[in-house]
Amino acid sequence: MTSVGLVVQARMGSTRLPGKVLRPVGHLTLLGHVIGRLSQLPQRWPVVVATSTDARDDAIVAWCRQADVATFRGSEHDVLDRYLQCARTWDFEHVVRLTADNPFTDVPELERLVQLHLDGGFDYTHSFGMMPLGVGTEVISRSALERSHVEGLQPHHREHVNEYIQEQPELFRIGVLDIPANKRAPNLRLTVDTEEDWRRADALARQARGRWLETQEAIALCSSSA
Amino acid sequence: MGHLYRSLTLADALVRMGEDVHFLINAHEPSLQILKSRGHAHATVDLAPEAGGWETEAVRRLRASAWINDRLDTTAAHVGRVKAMGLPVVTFDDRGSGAAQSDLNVAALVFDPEEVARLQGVRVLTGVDHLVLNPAIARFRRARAQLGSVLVTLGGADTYGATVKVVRLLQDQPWQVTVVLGPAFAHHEALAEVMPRHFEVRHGVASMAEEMARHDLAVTGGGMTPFEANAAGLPCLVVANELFEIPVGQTLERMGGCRFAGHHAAINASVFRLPLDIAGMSTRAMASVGLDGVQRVATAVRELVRP
Repeated sequence: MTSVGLVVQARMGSTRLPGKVLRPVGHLTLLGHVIGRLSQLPQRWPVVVATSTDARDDAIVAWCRQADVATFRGSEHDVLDRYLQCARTWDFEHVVRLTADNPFTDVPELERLVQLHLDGGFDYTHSFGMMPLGVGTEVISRSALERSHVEGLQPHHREHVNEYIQEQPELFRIGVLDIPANKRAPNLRLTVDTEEDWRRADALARQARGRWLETQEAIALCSSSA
Repeated sequence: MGHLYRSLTLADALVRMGEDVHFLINAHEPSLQILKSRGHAHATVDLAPEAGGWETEAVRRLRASAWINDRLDTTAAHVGRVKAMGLPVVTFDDRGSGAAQSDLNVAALVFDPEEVARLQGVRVLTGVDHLVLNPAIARFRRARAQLGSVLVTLGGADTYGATVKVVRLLQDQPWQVTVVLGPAFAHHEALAEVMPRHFEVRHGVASMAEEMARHDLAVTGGGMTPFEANAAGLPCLVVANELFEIPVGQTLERMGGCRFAGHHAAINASVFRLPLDIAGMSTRAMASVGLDGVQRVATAVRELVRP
């Protein structure tokens, strides 16, 4: 049976917003939003938070232990290695890569993305570039991770898991998910990287009426408040 | 089924006030069986939006004088059709486009001030004083003194498998634990992996009020159950199954009869290890959650018909 794992990379050492992953956005921490959203997936794919062995990230592990979320610890800077070791440990054939600074992941599109990836036999499939920044996701096969790990030796290949694949598209079968028109807003930022991003995310979470805000709703709310 | 049980409690109160009540319900066999067993007149209707227009026929046939919606958000089209027949409309927890046209919007579980401010309707009733709780709870009301027995009940479906997490957190506690699973529970395999032998598992209970009476603490979701428990003097640890249950859990903690353990995706495990003042929580629970809400709501409904 094909094994799919959802791996959320998280660290406390953000340059612009230190400790942001455990900072509240609405009623939940940023990481709580990411994990909570994933619980909406009917497939129950395993969720693992992949953090570093740095002592600052003990807080993330403690949070996950308390919240009953699995963790993996690996290299702080060689994130590609962290992902591969995590996939090997959990025996994932395909890894959905998420980051803990994106609280508005579009779960229905994530589900479609994985289906496209599996049906199309792709090495790497993504939904970037059409939806707001931070809403899309990517799926990487373990074989593509293994190959990137062996061949992608530049520092940026190790820090950014997908960059070797993106730089060498002729070596990989790459799929791109088509996105419905009402979810397209590539210029909108729904990631949390700066104080301004955090204020926007917090306001959106509070306006969500106690539900997981859908992408088209977030776009509409940001448009109406622009 | 929460909507149905709340409607039944309100209907019973209205009948006691001398009103006739007729249920219009979608073709959901378990609900129909319950209505039959409770002896309420009822008919099935197609609630799909494209089936619009059925309201007019129902109002004429039943010679209705008020219309009560207890369903998820109503539409302006639906409420407009009822209002066009000259009937006042009552709705519950309604955030749909129909709420603005409603004469009475009862939203007892909305606590977030921003959310309260957004509620619409000619008259809006919020707060625990307007909770429609089953008066039968009064028979099981008693003060707890110490913690020996724990009930875990996290909803009929427990969509996100919070029961599994809670059982894991209770594994090492020196308490007698009973886990009640609803008919739509779908996490049996995961639960079996963590369930200690000495925990009792019950697949549904005839009366939750009776079951609650056996215990000193309940672990519940953030819906009606912790209020029912508190009204009976049973303190709770509350786990929010949905985002909108977070302010409910926070409010319950402030009221004193519950401790809030966070959202299921980020349970605050330390709450399960804290020493609990069961006697104090039980006293505060009964003081803060009364059973008169149904009477207040029934009176407000009646005032619309007979001002």
